[in-house]
Amino acid sequence: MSFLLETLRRAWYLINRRRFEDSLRREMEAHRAMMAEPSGFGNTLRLREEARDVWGWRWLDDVERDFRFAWRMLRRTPGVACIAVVSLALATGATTAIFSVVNGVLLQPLPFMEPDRLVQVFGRSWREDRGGQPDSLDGPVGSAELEQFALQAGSFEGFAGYAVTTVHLGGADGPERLTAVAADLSLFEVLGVPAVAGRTFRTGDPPDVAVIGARLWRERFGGTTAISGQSVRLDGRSFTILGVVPERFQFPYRAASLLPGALPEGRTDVWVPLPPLRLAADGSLRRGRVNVVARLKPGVAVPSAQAELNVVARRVEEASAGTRLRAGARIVPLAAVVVGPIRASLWLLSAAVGLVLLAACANVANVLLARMTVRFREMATRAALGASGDRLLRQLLVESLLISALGALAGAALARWAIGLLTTLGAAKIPRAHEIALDWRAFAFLLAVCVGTAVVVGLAPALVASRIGPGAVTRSMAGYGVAGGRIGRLRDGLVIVEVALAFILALGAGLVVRELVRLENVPVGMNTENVLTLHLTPRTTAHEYQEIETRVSRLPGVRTAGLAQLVPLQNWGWTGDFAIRNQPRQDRPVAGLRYVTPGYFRTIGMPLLEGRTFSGADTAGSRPVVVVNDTLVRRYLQDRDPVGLELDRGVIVGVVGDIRNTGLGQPPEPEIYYPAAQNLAMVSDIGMSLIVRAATPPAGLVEPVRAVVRGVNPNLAVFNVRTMEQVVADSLWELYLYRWLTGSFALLALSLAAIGLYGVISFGVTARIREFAVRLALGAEPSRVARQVFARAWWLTAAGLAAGVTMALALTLLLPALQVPIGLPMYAFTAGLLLILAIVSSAFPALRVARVNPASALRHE
Amino acid sequence: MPRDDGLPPGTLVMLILRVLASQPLHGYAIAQRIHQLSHAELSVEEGSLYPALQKLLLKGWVKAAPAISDSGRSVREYRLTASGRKQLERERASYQRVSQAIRVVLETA
Repeated sequence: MSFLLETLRRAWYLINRRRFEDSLRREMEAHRAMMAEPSGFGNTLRLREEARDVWGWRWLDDVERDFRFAWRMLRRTPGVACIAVVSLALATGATTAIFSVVNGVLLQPLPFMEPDRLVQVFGRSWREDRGGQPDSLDGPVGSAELEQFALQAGSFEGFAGYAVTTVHLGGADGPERLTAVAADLSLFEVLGVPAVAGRTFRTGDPPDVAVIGARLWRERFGGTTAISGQSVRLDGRSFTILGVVPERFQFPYRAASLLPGALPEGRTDVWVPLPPLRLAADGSLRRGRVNVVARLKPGVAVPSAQAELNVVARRVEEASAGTRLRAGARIVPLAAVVVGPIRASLWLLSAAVGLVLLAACANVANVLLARMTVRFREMATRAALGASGDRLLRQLLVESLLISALGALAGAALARWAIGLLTTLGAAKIPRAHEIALDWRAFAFLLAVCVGTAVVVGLAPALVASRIGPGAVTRSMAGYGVAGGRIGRLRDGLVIVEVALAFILALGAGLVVRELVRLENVPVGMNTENVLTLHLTPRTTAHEYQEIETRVSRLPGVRTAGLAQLVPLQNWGWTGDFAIRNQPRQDRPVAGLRYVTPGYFRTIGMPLLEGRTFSGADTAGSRPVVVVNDTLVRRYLQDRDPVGLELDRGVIVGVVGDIRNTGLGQPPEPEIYYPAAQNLAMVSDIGMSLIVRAATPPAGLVEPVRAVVRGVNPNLAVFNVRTMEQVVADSLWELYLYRWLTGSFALLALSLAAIGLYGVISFGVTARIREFAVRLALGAEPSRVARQVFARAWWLTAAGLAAGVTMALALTLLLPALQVPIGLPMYAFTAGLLLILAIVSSAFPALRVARVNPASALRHE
Repeated sequence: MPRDDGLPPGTLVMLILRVLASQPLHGYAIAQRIHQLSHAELSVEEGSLYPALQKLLLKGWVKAAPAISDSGRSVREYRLTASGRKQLERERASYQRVSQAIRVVLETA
């Protein structure tokens, strides 16, 4: 209590300092004036200082003075200051940006009540027995099983099934497509999310109610609090709005990845009760299977809940004995499902950015050490005048703190910019992207980084300075080489560290680039030139699709047009098993199922290997036909003539080439193509993608195509307009992002290493210029002297490379999970890069030596 | 710089507290009072009152208020607070205990 009051008084004194000091001075003057013999008062100045020191703010004055001095020193050497501040700004900015991403995505708990108790429940990927094959258990859950889980499993507080779909909201400028989630009424209770206005679902709510997201609330309803009871028309049906969920609320996460290519934005806007708007539309819904999230009871561990579900699943199987139906479930903590796919990448990026920060610290320490050598005389003089080692140490730490604070300030601006860029680019791709922000945690982190770098960076010069004794000044008269040996060795060490870090980072960036080059050269199986893709939604009739295809192909500049459920490379689509008719149904092979119109194959540029593709004659009334791809034939129909073969899914009429429908990194899968006209019920209610091949770059075609679509059916929304090249690039977005990040990290580290090398070599030349001059004057070959300069750069680089290679080898041994075969060529290439760097950064100092005029150099000192 | 003011260390604070206990005074008056009461035996280097007074202000044992001296100068008058009074009692008690003990040692040993 008394301590607190004392602190308050001290603070009060600090605020009113000028006034208090003035009144003390006047008071003391008055006292002296009243005394008969003022000499008995004592030394006024000293007493005033003593009185001031009582309040304990002297250190503040000292620090202020130190900062002023440091500021003057920085301004006197703007080049050094710039290099130091800029390299720290780039490094702290990058570090803070990556931290914000890691913090928002990985470290912060999911914004639900007690998120540790939430789990995702997966069902069998195949409902039927497949000849005893083990099931990967990553599918949705059957509604019969879900019902039994909810009834029998005591480890759970509640289950909620859900399915993602799209709905269309009527508006002034055409329908707006929204991502909707059809969910059990228990969803919000299971997640533990209260409404910000109105209420969420409640047991017994009718099927025509809706909960909306904050974005929709703001944009369509002006954020009014009187939201509950208002109605909204979705796909022509009227829904009563119950309430609004918070801005941060997003469920399910990765909604975009469920329907990539169709839902690019990845935020959900509307929640309506299951059963969904159109029951038969979505394949999984049609079969009555849904995604499931569940809440464990407090204290229940995942393994024991899993064991209980296994028991219940076995009971369900026993109840359906005699059929081929199977049951099963696998539970995974929700957080792992949400961020699992990106966790390893983010930690790797954090490690990389940490190395960048380390390299920047080494560089700044190096620069400051170089300045220490020049300032040795100043330091020695101050020591001789009575500055203690502590005092010099503090002075230098304040200088490095000033540099790192300026760097952090610029870094904060940089981080802000980088985070804005990352969240915009990764909105639909990085899970929880909307939760990434430069918040107080990021600032606390930045502050810690700032102080940390100041200490790391200032330590080496400060330690050198604190060892300067009062006697050093006499020795320093001889020149500034006194502490040179120690400083020189420290600087060599720092340069070696910088080279090693640059090597590691360049190696990492090289690996990303190598992978990207590999994937970019994978044959996609199609011709991506001059192709435009658009998604049309919702699903419409076969006749209208045919009409659109015909009319678009007649547009001037268009060669062909076709429709498919989704463009390639989306890693999405139904899969199904098939068998050859009249063959024993033992192990039924699995294939991807694609629904396309006749023009698709020509438009996308897939080669026809055998038979024919579809034509306008393949309609709902005619014989069911399919086209299969090369991989399917080679894998399952090797010893047969595929064309004419009858599968239980239709007669094979043709064989086409392979196309990468899953991703460039994955091998082509066996695929079965259906004519959409014969199987329209199987096409998702999110509609089909229109693909247009033009003679020239297709940007100008967007409007004419839109007009055609409007002419055929004004209710169709056109969105996600991309060229096929963009589609391919989008499928590699993660690698592009990593190339961008690791590339800039490596570039930064390489520049830092170059600056460090140049600094050390150039300084070495300056210090030894007299020696070189003497040797040249005595007839030494200039090239020989220059070679000596190069040799030193080579030596430092070689040591750095040795350290870097050791570190890289250690990393691959310690983290076998990385599974990246680096390979000798990669090592050699990166090492070569650094050797070139060494030559470039020592070329100028070497040239200077070779061209030195002995006479003028000797006169110089 | 050691001063030979004849005061054991720390006692100045106690003396100031004691003098202020009877009435509020400004700096010069405090010095006068100590000088008078000790029959000129305790002569303080008068300026050293001020660092001591700052310490009393910091501890909250006295409060300062602007005042006009007898000779018409603007000065600050120091007044003992409740906690200052308590502090005086504490210091007096401990001083008496210590000086008693010293006296016993000096007289009997």
